[in-house]
Amino acid sequence: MIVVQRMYIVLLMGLTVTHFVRAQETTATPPRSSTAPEGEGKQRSENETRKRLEQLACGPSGVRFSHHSEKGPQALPEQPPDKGLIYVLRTKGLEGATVQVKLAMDGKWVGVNGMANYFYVEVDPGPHYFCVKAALDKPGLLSLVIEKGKTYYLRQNLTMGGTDLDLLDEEKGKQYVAKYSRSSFAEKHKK
Amino acid sequence: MSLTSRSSRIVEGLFHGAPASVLLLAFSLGLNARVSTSQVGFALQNSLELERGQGLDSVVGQSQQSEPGKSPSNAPKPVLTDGTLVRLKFVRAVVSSQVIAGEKLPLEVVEPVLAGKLVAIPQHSAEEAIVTMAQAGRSMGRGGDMQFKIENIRLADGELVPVRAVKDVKGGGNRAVALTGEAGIAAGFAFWPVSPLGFLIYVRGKNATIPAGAEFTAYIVGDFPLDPSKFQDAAVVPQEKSGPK
Repeated sequence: MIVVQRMYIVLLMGLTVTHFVRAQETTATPPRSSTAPEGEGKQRSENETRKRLEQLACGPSGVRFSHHSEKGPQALPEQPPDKGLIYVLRTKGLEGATVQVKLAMDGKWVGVNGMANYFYVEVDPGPHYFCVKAALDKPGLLSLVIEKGKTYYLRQNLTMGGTDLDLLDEEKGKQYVAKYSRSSFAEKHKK
Repeated sequence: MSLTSRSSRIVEGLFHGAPASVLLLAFSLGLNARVSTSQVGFALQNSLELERGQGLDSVVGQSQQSEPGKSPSNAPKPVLTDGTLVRLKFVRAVVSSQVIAGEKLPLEVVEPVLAGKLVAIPQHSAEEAIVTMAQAGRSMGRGGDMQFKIENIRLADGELVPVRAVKDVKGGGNRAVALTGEAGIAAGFAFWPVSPLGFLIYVRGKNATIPAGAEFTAYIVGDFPLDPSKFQDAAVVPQEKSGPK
């Protein structure tokens, strides 16, 4: 009887080892293949993406700026080699002549423009998220990977349909910056 | 001993030596060398003859043999050359309103990339593009915009090599659909039809859209010598025909 029991135990141990080896085979890391399982890299909806981008890009509500345009010729900054340089400009238009248009980057308001104004910011390379807001309009959103040593021109575009942020080509951007006045602004603090 | 009995003993001896040749064959196959059983016997007898051979097959053969005094590094290696085309396609549809810059898009290699007779990049291997700019459809019926780039491609041995490919896809809007990009980028993207013109003040433009399966071409940047022992021969890798474009 004892012999039968021992044989049974040995058999069970053998089966356990076999199962263990099989389990290792099935749980091994699959080769790098494009046939990703369902659900991996699931695409967000448009609304979910917009919400996510708003959270990443826009600053807190209630932040206000005092603003004026600088008069006379203004010196432009040199392109930093290890950073990206972003000019944010607002072109002339019929809409919102007296409205200030704010720009936030990565969840913080960084500047404001009046009509025919610009300001600039130096930015670390990598992905950044931008939010433009005027009065009660829905914010305009843009995400951009900034490369070091490059200059970018973003236009705050205020229309009857809403506020957008457009990436301009360099030539156009330079023309606007040459024509427009630099914005001077400071955050207003509540007392 | 007669001549016939001696030759029959040699044949018997070969049969007894079969496990050794099978082992050698398995070893060679493990190193992706194209060696048949007859070649094994040939290699055992005339290894130097093989070394004198010309072409890539001989290069592969050389790298597998441990000939004393001759290191494998002396053998000329196949090279993945600068400007080699890599045809890629998007695994899933991409819409500019559903991606954020910095995110990765899954790609798949459409056809294998060969360096000589070696498969440098296998068909269906997975790669990734990075979204560098994403914008949903804008006000006044202006279209969205999306740009992406692919910087590296993984070779069959796991090494990353740089490539150049940048794509800019614009969505339809109240202006003609535009497709721009760096020179040499082949594109076959389909776009949503342009919105009817008119008073589009409160209409948002179309998002830039890349359909699933849309193909583009990337180019290898630089020359990369390949270690033949780490790549498969194209002759032993089954290749599917790519679908109609």
